[in-house]
Amino acid sequence: MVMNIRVLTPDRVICSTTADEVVLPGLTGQVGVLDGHAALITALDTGLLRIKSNEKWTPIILCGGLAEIDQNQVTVLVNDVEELTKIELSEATKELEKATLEVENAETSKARLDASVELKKASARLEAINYLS
Amino acid sequence: MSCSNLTMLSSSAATAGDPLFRLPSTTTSTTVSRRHSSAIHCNLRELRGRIQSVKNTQKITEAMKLVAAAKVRRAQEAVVSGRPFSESLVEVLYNINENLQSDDVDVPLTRVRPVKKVCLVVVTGDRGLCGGFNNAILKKAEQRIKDLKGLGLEYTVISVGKKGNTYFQRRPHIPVDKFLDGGNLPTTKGAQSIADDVFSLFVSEEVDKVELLYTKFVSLIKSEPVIHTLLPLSPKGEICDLNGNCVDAAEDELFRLTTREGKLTVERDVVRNPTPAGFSPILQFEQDPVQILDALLPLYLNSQILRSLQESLASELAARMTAMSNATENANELKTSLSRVYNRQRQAKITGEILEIVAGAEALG
Repeated sequence: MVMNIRVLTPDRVICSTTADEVVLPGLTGQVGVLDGHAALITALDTGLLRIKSNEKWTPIILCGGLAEIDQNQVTVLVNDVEELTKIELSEATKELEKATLEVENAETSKARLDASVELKKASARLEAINYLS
Repeated sequence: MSCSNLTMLSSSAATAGDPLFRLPSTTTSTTVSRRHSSAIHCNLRELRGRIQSVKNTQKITEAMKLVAAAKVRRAQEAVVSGRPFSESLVEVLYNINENLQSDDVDVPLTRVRPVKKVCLVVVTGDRGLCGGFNNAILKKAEQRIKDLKGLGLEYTVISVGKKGNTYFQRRPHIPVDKFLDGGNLPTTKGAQSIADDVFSLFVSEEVDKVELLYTKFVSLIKSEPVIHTLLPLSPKGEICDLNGNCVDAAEDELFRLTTREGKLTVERDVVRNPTPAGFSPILQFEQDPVQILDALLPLYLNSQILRSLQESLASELAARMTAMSNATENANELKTSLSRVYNRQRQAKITGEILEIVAGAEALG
């Protein structure tokens, strides 16, 4: 049995592949999915999705959405994914610090919400670098 | 230059009058007689110039037609590439709904309130020269505004697309919440910004109902302006105002969560892949169902808006294609009749000259 995973955004199919293991950024923490997982629906937070195939992890940064697992088929529905660019570790760390500061200094609740999304993205980016290298 | 009037090339009005001077814009008798005389008074040089300019215009309309045709194809591709998402989404939504039927779930986006104020999202094109496309949707909007006024409800407009923006800017009595640009190809970001506005207006209880007015793409030669209720995402039933009167537009198509609606119209002619068997009956929810719906409904809202933007664009391009092909045909017709006039005049001139020579020779002899 092989597990299939599809990552879909409203305008295109990001990836459709087989995987040995998938780690989803669930709203209540990370959800690891292995072969033969029970049927499940989970809301996703902004964060890092990891797909393991052939002993290699592929990271994808998601911007909030939903995932459903059914009969070894993982479908991830998200608004958008972030392009993974090759950035340096130090740069990513700097961005994370900046985002953290922004969350602390946010005055309105909307600004804080926006900033916290940025913070999540920044930390996901940092995490992604670890998996890329 | 009375001879260089090339307006209304794109009108497909039936031609009337003298077959010799069949010009596409002969709609009223006065213009017929004016054109008639002006065509006669043209000298050869002016006629030549006019024929040339018709030819040039034809080239332009032909090119616009081809460009629109190519873009329609691209728009259709965009719709096709978005299909897996909307199909999976509707499937998930359907199954969640099945699972949640017994529970009383309270999500802000599905909350039905007595309607006091309605927000109309009007999707128009960015450019003209596409027949009655923009007019049709704006007329629909005016009609809906009138209906709402008749019901004694307040309204506000979110205008998407440059044509709609200029239209509403010229009419300051219509309250407009926001002007947004349509952009060349509808993107998730564009849909997101509309969804954000709509979402905040609705959740802050500033408006109690959001309607989306866009042009539905039926086929390359047919499209129709429609009204969709976007919010509240109510599973069923009609939405009423304070007095309990229904405020839904007569031909409104409600988004029903329980049906498998939301399929793209362009899909109709495509054979769909058989969907895999439904969910297992024992479906686990990782989080609270409310949280899952909270994550899902904005996605649904976005994809609905994106779909309507895509359909509107496809309709616009199709309308432009038809208009431009009409214009090209008309230019062809105009060119033929003009060259006929030109040839006759040339012939008449030659005949006149021969007559003069013959008469001269006869007088001499």
